[in-house]
Amino acid sequence: MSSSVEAITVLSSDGDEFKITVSAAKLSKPLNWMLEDVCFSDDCDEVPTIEVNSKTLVKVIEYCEKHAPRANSGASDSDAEELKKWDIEFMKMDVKDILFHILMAANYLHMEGLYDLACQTAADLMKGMTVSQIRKIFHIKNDFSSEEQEQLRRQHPGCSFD
Amino acid sequence: MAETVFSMLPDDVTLHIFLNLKDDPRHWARLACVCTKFSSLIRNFCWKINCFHTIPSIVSDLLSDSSVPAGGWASLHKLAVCCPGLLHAGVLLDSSDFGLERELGPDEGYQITSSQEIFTSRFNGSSGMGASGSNCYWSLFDDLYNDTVYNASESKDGLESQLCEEAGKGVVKVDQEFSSCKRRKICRSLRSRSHLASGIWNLSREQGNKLLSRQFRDDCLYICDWPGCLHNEEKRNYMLFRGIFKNFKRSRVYRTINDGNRKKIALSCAFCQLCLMFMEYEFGSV
Repeated sequence: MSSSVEAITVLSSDGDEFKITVSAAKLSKPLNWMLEDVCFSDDCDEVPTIEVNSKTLVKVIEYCEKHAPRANSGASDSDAEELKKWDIEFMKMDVKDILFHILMAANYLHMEGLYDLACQTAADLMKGMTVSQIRKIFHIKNDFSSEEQEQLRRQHPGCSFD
Repeated sequence: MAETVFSMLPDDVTLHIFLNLKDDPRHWARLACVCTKFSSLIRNFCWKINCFHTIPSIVSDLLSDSSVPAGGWASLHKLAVCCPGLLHAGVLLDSSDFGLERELGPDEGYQITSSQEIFTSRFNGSSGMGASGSNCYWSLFDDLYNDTVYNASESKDGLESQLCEEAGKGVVKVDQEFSSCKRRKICRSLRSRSHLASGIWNLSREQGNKLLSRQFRDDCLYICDWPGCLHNEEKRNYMLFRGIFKNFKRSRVYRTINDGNRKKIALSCAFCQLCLMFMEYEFGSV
């Protein structure tokens, strides 16, 4: 692994270049592997592509940079508390446009913290919602056949399925 | 964009989201009604995982000869967490709402059929469980015959009249007895409907053994922990126990019930099409 670089450059799937510090990149296993690769040595100018679109990658890098100091050095309770608040604010995003891309990116980049956070956020959005509200929030099409639908109606007379 | 967000997500990610919702069974119940993908994930994985996690010994016992418990994972899971309420448990009260309007939601694909025989185990007096176990006797739906109005003409919705029809199919015709029934006041308390079971969501054979009288001790009955779900009604307090027999048709209880001239009534099972059983512990009149 190269010891001389402090930040690396990666390409998004849209072809945009992004810089990410080495300590932040270490939060992702695949990026960590890349760091150990010759690509990041001084005599190599090949830029690796990450299969995540630019809009999502900006957010992922933002998360990494915020969490990197704590991940690398441990943190006090007050830091953890502050980070939690930051996470909540960070996750206030459009479900369809960003949240699900973050989920997939975190899964693809093996970022446990972000993955758990995104899953928990999606789960929280489902809590206490009716069937039709869940469909609306997550843009889910009702694909039950009319027979299945009828059966559900009989079983759950109080539920709204429309 | 035509594709839905969840169609892009791998199943394991979707499942990971669902597992964040395991603390309240109603979340999964609702999700299973959202779309076919959710429905299949909840039925085939979530409920299964949860059964293995919460009632592992029962699962391994019941699964000795199949890969899916009789009645499916949905039924077993529901048995662990859902009290059907007095009405659906067979302690029938005269009410216009038959207790199927549920917060919990799912029968999940298990159509209620009319061929189930559900029994109440009735103990006299107010002595403790251990003592009462020895002087209990089996009686089928004494309460039905003595206390409950069961008249289709009074039904206010389809479900109730459906069940009345089913009752007519019982082994013993009960029409005349119904007509002489003492009328019970309409009870519409929320607790008479199905609800999340109180107490720990567990079923154990030890509890089942305590409840069975000595002659049935060889039977394998799993029931929820004492004191089940408490239901306070006007005249009595009820404790509803949810439970399941292993190999019910081969159990002594089943044979005893089938022998002789015991009164029977066909009633739909609250959980599945198979023989699941409720027991009623009676405190005596209040």
